[in-house]
Amino acid sequence: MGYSRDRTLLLTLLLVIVDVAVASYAVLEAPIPVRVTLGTPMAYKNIYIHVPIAISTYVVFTGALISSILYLRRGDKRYEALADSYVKYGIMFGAATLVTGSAWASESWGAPWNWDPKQTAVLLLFLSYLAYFPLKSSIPDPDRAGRVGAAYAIAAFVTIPISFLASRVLESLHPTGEAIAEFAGGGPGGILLGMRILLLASIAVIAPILHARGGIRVPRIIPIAILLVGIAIAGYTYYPAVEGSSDRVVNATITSEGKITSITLSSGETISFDRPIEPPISPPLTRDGQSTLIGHIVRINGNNIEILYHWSTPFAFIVYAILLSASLYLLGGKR
Amino acid sequence: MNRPILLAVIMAVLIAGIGYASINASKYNEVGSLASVDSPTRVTVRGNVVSLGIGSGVIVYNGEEYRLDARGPYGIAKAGNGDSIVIFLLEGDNGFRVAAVYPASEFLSRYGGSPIIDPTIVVDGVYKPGETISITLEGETVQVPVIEIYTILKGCHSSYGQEQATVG
Repeated sequence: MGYSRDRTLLLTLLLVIVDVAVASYAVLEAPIPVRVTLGTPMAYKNIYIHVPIAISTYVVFTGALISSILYLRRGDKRYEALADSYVKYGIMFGAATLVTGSAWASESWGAPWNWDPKQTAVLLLFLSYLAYFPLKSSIPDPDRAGRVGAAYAIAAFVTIPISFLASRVLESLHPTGEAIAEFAGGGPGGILLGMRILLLASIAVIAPILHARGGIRVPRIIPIAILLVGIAIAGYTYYPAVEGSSDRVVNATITSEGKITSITLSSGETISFDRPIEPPISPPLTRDGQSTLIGHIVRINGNNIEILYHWSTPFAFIVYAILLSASLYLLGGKR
Repeated sequence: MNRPILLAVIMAVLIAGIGYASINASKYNEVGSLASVDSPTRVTVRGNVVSLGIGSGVIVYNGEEYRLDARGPYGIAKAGNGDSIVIFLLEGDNGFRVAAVYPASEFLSRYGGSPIIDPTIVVDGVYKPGETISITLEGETVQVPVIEIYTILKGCHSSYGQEQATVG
């Protein structure tokens, strides 16, 4: 049993390390759409952070549903502990989904909170599961609390299909899964996104099982190291934005060789360069011949154009790092 | 059926009811619903974007004449006094039309110069049924009521179908 538990822990740690590496690479190097409907295309780096967390939230609450059904059928307390564990992790993942989504929406939808059907549905999902522990602890008889809690976890699962359907049935700012799949199928970004979803969802399935079994010793250095990686990546990506003034690109003139001769900023200023310069983005033009710099937040130093990150991506990365650290920290919390 | 399962079913129905009600309440009204509004009101509405075509025209808004540069789904209008606005013509499912206007400086600072505009957009602003805007394009003039936009709430659906770019 101990050997098996050690192997499961090792597998979890391996998944966590690989996921942190893939997430870091995605934030630094992964592709983004050439043009977007609103704001900077760099905000779409959030695809690689927010989407895997959101899908994992659904996966974790599905774990709570299955554990609760098993508890009601077999009466085995271990399933009750497992359901508790899945709900606990689900609440953390749900909170991370809401805050990373709102940060991204602030740039790409125009405002962080819009009472959009999808946002409302995910909030309802989160609040429904948030009531799980207060409900259980309000019932003095542990057996009865277990049964009522299981019944509630089964009932609360109804919020998952509601939130899944919200952006399909009603007009929503939120894209459907097909839109994400369209992006995923359109280039190398899809492979990274697929890897992240698989890795994080696997962690989200395994970690609550280990937590429910209890007594898992994760060296404290690992959650701390993940947090430090999160701070480092967020700092590295966001630091250029606080270093000096920046502006948004309204238009850019591109030569037939794809080099930039001038750039117009939202301040109204047009900057012409001494000589055509290499664009900081590839490809330099969209299929309909417009500069792919349009919409980006940039800083110009002489003949150098630097594309800046929107704050929502470093913020989401920190949230992700906190989520992973907390997930590992919790493994040792039930002894 | 044993009691916990029955309890689960009752609670699921209850939560589903709350979910249905709250999501329905967060459904965006559409522009057509403004036809029955007769005083200035803060609104968040969804409308179908009517193409203004490509070319130039004239609009008259707040007694000021603007030169309109129509860019398909939207236009940028400049007045002689230097004011500049972006205008969308939005249509409801019942054919009711409004002009949604937005300060051009804010539009450009958020969208860049050539944004993708989805076939439908959601705008948050003040609907002023008593104020009209006159739009003359290709010799044809229409007069429609105005929404002064605070925020354009954009869906991001079109972004995902784009080709991919790498930075650096």
